[in-house]
Amino acid sequence: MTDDARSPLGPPWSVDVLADLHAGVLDPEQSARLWPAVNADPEARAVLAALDSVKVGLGRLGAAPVEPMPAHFAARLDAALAAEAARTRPVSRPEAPAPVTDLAQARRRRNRGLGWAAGVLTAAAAAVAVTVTLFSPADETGNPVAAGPQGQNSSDAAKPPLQVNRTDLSAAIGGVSAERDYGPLKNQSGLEQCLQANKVDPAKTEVLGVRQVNLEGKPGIMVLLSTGEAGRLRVLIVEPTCDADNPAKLVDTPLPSR
Amino acid sequence: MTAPASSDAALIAAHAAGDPHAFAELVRRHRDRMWAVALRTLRDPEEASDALQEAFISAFRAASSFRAESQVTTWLHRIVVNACLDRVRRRQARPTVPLPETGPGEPVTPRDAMSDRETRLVVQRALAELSDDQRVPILLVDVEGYSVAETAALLGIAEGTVKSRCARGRAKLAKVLGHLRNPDADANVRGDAVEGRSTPARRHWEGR
Repeated sequence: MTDDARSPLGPPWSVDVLADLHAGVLDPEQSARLWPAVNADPEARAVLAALDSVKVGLGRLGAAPVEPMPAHFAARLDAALAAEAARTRPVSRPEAPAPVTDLAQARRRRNRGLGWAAGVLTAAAAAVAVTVTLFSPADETGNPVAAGPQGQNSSDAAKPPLQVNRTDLSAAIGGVSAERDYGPLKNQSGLEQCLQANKVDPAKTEVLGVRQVNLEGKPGIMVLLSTGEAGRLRVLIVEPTCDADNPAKLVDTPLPSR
Repeated sequence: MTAPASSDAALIAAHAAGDPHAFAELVRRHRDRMWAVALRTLRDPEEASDALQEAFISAFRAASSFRAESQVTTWLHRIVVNACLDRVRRRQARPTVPLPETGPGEPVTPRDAMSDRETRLVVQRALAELSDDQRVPILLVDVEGYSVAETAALLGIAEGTVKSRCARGRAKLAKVLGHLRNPDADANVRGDAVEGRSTPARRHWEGR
């Protein structure tokens, strides 16, 4: 009960008393005594109608169509979930653990200047880098051909290449995380040689997923790697000739790009 | 890849069984709705983003404990709300950030000329004038649809306190939104000058 001795339990009405009555705050005895008087008083009913209008407006707020989550926040969420997925089902683990980064640290890095601690996501240590290796042997007409025989260690060799668009790389994260489809890189060793050529140290970087992709019409491979920052991805795209001596890099970008 | 037609419950089960894509699909389906919940509760996009991230990762980890008799959306919604409430509690010692668009107590009228979207924005702005103590119970009860008992449990307060805070918050919203004729009236001030309108006979409304 929120009214006090100064608030009349009858006309002229206190808005607060009527709000209490409306919300069921008053005890049953008081309510039973007030309702007849309120129902008989147009002014009191008008206040209750105003409170009803408030409730209707609030209810409409909850039922209204929602705006989409902004793309950069959505990408950050995708990245954090990919890191979490990879943490629980990594393709390979580096010898040294990736540095643990919680949301508060990430926030400080974003220079937002908010002073409160954030997050329980200490486990989401690894952000992810995505390496896409193009391996598009063309046929005589110059058209890219389907991926060749799968590497012996490609556990998901039967899956079709994932469609990847340069302008929406984050959309591919879920399809690559925890996969082990090495394609023409054949196996983990082939992948590591390609990564080393791209200055990625496999001994220090967790491989979170590998999958053949089709990058805007070109077949390739996409690899998820840890980077040490929660919710942070990196996309690296290389040509099919990528090996220990040839990085063949086409795209190298963090995700989200900030 | 997980079939798009899978039910939410099937996605949760697939995720718990090790399907690496099932949870991403679940997130894709519900992200925007949950984003709206987080943004309404926390008001700050960065905070809402972080809360949603925490919530979905909590759900990711807790999927095996999901009970089939619950709706996945209800389960997810509660996780998101709890993540947001944790942040509300943490920041309660911090001063409230005033909204630049509306001065304190300023009525936001007229409503009739507004589109639905504008009306919702007006209500959102009015909500922002409430303290977290009033705003959060109102969000949970009147916007998100939780019962008074559920809200009391979520907030760790008595049901009577939920009702009381909702009552005070609605009274203030009625004033801020211009539903009352005397918008300068503060709480515990007689509201004997209200706009006239025809009203149906009252029922004994006792909260949700």
